[in-house]
Amino acid sequence: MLSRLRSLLYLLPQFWRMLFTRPVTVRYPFAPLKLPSYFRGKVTIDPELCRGCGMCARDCPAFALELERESRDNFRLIHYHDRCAYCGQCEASCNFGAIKLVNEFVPAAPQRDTLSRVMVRRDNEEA
Amino acid sequence: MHWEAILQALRETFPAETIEAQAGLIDETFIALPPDGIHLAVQVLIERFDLRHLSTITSQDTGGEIELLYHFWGGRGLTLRTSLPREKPHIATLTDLIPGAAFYEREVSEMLGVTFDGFPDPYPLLLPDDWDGQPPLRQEESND
Amino acid sequence: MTKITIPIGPQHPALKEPLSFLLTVEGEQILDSALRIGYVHRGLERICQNRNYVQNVHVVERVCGICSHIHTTTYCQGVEALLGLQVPPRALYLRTLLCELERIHSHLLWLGVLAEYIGFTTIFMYAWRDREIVLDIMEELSGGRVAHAANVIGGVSIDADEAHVASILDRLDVLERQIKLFLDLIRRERSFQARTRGVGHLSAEQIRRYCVVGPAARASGVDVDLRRDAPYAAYKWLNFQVITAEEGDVWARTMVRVLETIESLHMCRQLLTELPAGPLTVRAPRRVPPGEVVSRTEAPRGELIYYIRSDGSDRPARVKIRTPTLTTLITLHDQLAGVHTADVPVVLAGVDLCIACADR
Repeated sequence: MLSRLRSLLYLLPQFWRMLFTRPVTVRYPFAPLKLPSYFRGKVTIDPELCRGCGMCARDCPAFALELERESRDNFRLIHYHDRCAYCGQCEASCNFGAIKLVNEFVPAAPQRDTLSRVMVRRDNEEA
Repeated sequence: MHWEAILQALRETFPAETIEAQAGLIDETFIALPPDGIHLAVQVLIERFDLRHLSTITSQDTGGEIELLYHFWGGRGLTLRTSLPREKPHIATLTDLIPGAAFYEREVSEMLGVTFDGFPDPYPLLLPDDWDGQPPLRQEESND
Repeated sequence: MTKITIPIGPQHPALKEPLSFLLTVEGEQILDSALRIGYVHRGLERICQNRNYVQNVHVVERVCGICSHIHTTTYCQGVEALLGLQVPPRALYLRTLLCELERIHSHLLWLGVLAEYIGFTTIFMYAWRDREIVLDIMEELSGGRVAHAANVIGGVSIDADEAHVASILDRLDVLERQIKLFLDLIRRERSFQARTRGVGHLSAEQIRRYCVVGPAARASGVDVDLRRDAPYAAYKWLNFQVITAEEGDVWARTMVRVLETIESLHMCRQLLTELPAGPLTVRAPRRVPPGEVVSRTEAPRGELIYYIRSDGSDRPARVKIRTPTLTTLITLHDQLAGVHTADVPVVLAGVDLCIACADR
């Protein structure tokens, strides 16, 4: 009998600790949520730095980046949020530092075609 | 595990074949054998060297023929390699010597269409019951 | 008494992943069992043939959620051997750190699952709460709790500065106290012992016949651990012990896993305090010269083996994965023969199933 009580004593400090700890539930979306800096979130591309080389599209494991390219100055880079796995390979593959994954959520959307974005559009017709 | 002794024992078992050990990456040794010699070679490994741990059986379609690789582990890695023809490939089962080979042989037979002679109950391991296509890892399979 | 066939799965409250058992039961005793897997077969080996080596790092990471890092480690190790790269020591230490953190979180997850199946929900809740410490550390290092994307071919993409290392060491001390509490609790708790002792017994001879690997093999006295026998990554620079037990039942497997968790904690401390300075990656060419490699590592559940063959292009010709859960699944038939139906969840939990790994 006493040994049963003794095993209960091992758990009592745990119970005591839990009584005075606040719950870890976050209040999002009713309160703003600050994401940590290391969070891999939305894919952003600096259009000034992008050269349209296509390394990001070639290395994306989910085929979420598509490059439609006619010439060096005439291309479109499209990112599909619904295919993207937010793995960060595009950021690692870009040799010009144009892609960054920032710590922002990508919100869901009721229509699928709103989930793709033309990230860079370059259509300079003069050579 | 004396690799030289293993090589010597295999050479004695197969006097008509040239048995050479190729050193591979990460300290792996590859030995090529004819298909009907694999069962006997594994018997030699188990009886004389107590080398019973079969890691897995890899199967691949190299374009010309179906290659099977039996990966063993005994302090170092040893892989027995054999080639089977593309039409109706078949080889003796290892489950009478190593019962743990059952799942690996079932996966090889469903993924590449290899028949393991003497295997008691070869129903598919991973593919669904209503799979009616070609074995998925064969080269002629064209749906991606 | 008539024989009844009870189907367990593919969807069942006792299972975390889809798996189908048909148990032939007479009264309360199991006479026979039939197993079907393949419900989460995604054909990842075939997918790997259609993507280049860089994309495949992310594809193989998604074979399993619990042991994602060891899959990328084994794959990257194989491709680095094909390329003849020397990975810098700092990268090896960080890679091993995540491997050991993953082992800790996997074993804590398993302890919680086993406790829940027994009905000891308290340990389940506490083990998973303390597992959050490890998941937070992994998220700070890599950006993801489960999909770390920490390994690249040629090194790692994560780093930790001195302040971060100090904060991780503090939290590992907290975690060690908690794990020692669990160890004490399961040793003293008679109901836990009564549910797990003598259940799911596997002898050393059965282990060797079915080529079982991992803690299930070590719990029956078979002393094999690839971290010691074929050291990879930074293990050749670490001091650690391999835990074995003799009884071969679920209780022995529990003890092996909990003691391995404490051993992994000591290894994490060694890795963090001895972290060498230096670069994190080495440049890796995109095209891999023709060749083949067999890469083996010790995943939380046992020996993980990858066979990679390259044909000179930037896509692999064959990637073959054999995960350790496949070896323990064969033994379930022997383990379930003769047990009572109430012991079925304990046996299933004792083998630490990861069906996503087994199915690929």
